Amino acid sequence: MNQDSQELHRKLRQQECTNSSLLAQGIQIRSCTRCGSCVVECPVFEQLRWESSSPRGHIGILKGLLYGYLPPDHVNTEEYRENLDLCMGCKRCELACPVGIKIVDLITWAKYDVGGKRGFSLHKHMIANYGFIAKIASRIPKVNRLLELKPLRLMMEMVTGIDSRRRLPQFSHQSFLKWFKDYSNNGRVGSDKRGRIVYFAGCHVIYSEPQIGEALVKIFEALGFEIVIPEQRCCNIAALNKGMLEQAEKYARFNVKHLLPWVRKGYDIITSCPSGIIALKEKYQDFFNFEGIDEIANHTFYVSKYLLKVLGEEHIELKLGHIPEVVAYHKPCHLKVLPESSHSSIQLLELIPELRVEDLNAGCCGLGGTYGLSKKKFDLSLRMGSRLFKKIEGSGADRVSADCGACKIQIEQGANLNGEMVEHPIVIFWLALREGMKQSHKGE
Amino acid sequence: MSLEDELRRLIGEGKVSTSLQERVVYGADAFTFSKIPAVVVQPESHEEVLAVLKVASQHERPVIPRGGGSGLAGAAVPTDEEAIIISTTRLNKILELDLDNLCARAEAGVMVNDLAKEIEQEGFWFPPLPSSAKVATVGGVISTNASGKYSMKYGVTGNYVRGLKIALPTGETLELGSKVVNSVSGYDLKSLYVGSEGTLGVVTEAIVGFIPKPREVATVLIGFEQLEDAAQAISRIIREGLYPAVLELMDSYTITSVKRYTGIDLPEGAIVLAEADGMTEEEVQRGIEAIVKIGEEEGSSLIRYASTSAERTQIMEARDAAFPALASIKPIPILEDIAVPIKHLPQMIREIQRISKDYDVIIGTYGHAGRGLLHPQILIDDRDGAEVRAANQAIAEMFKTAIKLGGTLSGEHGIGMAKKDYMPLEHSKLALEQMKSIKQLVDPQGIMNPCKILSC
Repeated sequence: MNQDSQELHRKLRQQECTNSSLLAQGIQIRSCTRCGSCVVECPVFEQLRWESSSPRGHIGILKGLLYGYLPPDHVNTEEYRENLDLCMGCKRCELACPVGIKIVDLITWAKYDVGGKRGFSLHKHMIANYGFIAKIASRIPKVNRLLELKPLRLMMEMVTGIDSRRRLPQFSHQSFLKWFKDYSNNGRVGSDKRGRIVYFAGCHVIYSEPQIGEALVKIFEALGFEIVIPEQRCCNIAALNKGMLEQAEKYARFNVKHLLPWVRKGYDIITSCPSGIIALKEKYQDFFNFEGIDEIANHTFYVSKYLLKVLGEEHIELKLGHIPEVVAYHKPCHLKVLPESSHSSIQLLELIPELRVEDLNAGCCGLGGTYGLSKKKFDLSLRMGSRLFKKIEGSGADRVSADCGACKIQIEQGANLNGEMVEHPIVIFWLALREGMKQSHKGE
Repeated sequence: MSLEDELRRLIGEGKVSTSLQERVVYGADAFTFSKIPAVVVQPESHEEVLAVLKVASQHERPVIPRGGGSGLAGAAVPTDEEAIIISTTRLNKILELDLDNLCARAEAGVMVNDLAKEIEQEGFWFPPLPSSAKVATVGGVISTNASGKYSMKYGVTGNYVRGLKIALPTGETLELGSKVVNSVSGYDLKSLYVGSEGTLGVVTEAIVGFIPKPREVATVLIGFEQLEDAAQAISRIIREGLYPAVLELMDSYTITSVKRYTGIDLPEGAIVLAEADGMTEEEVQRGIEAIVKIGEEEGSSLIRYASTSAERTQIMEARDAAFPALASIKPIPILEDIAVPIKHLPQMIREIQRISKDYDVIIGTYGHAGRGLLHPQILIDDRDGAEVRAANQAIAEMFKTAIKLGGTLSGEHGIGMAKKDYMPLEHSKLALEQMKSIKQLVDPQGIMNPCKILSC
């Protein structure tokens, strides 16, 4: 658990703290050298240009509270709360910070403090419970058509704050978990000739793009792995980023409780969602302190990175079909900030014969997971992604690939693409592997 | 109408902030938090800057220009709570890249790194990039005459400034220079404004030159057991007419911190980092071998050549990690930039080591030793009053020592508010009076960044 952040949060909540008591805490805040390395990485600052909207500015405000330049009751102001809500949690600042300050974590603690006193809006509660909402939505007949109806969307906007212009994820009629149940043999797929994994699928795969999960399962099955999908809930990183730590902890405890036994039996945890891996590998450790958190963090891997490792270590020669196409690849922020995995999807795609990967490298898509869903942030969100959209429109690629479901819907909206053109790298890799396996069978 | 309302009327509501929260964060730069300004403005054009200055003049309010806020001498923070901060962040257009004249015209708020990337895409190079280039602005590097690793051979920002457009505190526009490379045409006013740290006017636009990138480079890391031997080697390298592109130094405390921070394997003791560049491989190899020979003769313990570009990157990474590695040790790093004539480099280094012991403060020393420029980085916890006092005393003594050795208070960061009290140590009364006269001439009301460089 991040002691300094927690302590600062505790002091801020108390409100009767003196300057000297605050001064005793907050090593991270005090360590900021104001070098500005974070400022240039922040997609929000790039648009808004005010120092307070930058990571350095956020720390400056917390420092202002710490040192008494801002009065303690400043934390009660709408201005303070709105400023905290500007942070989209992309973590690009943390990657850039030369002294290793966990800036997003500090902002999260501050959001928790504000939420604890003033509560969280309906919009935030909805976002925080996306997993539950997605589960219900996917069971409503023709839900995707309904969600295109303007009157309904306007009503939703009034009640929930989700912008009526925002394209929403498409919900799949059959959830990935149902598919797996039917496909598996008593909850297991494959043999454990090479290894054993548990798949932490995430809300987007389960309720919107089960084909990602299907592709992943079939890839590992073909490689000689046993795949299990334990009970799991939403990683709840959306709630966590909004400062709803108590709810996020319940979800974290559930997930750790159900993943831990498998880890202790020697299974590795694989996820295909960049936010999922950030949650399991970093966020749970940063904010919570209960048994199993560290083990989960140490045994969680991003799918592309894991596949590359397996292919390399086991000297597996895969027969992959040719895909003579250009794929424009967008790296999600939450993958970019994991140096060991950040390039792995590109490297995986580059294994496919004749496929050329164009690394778009055009910054953040601007959606920030759930950040850009709201009416307040919708326009800002599209502005943040405009450089990326322009690059996609000008790229001439045959398809776009992105690991993150949120990036997908943002790119579709911003660059005017339809859903089939933005695919997870794993889906593309499975296409190549399946084609290769077919050719091998024909050859036999 | 209040000053703030007038500003809103002139440049637009969205470009003026009087929010306390916003003003607090503009009260700090990379040196310190100072005072909370009264208002922050973000003009989008030269004309809007002029409009702000006119209003400031009418209300007799101090004005502080601010670029990336990464300055290390407190030039961008107010010393007065009546101050207006002019942030150049919206003056962020690269106006022209002239490949025939090898120069670029850019607004003051363009981040230097962004400009450098545009230039590099065309195969050219802006050498005096400081380590803060990612966030430092064109206006910022001009205002401090900034420099970096490559300034050893390629000079400082001022050597590349061909033209300036300046909004003066009198409400006038001063345009200096042009795309011409050299001019000896009247008094060199450009040089006056370069390094003036926002005390004479607001640079809104600049024409900066650039040069072709060298075709070949060779990089070497030379380890020594003793820092003094490293300093001697550097002195000799210069004395014998070898002028590499890069000649850097790191002491053992810095090396240990960098090793821990980056995981890069480095020799203990002291390191000299040298890079030779040129048109042919043979030329650069000869250059680097000559440097290595001196290193060996001065008792080097290790020679590590960068035989691939990855190895070169790693060596440079180690050097660039010096500041953050040391800054990770204690909450507050104070980074100085004293410079002495090269001949006295070994003595200055000995003195820094002595000062560190005498005042019991941790000082990691590294820097552009080939220019006689050192970065003693003092590490303190600002909660410890005794440590703060000791650090200030150590810094004062370093300044006095540097001046006694014929050096300067600041080799590249500027004076700002950090060192102005020590200016009489370095400059004669006559020189200071001339500086004051110039300031009075250009800024008769004294509204431009007051109490910086010179005492109020």
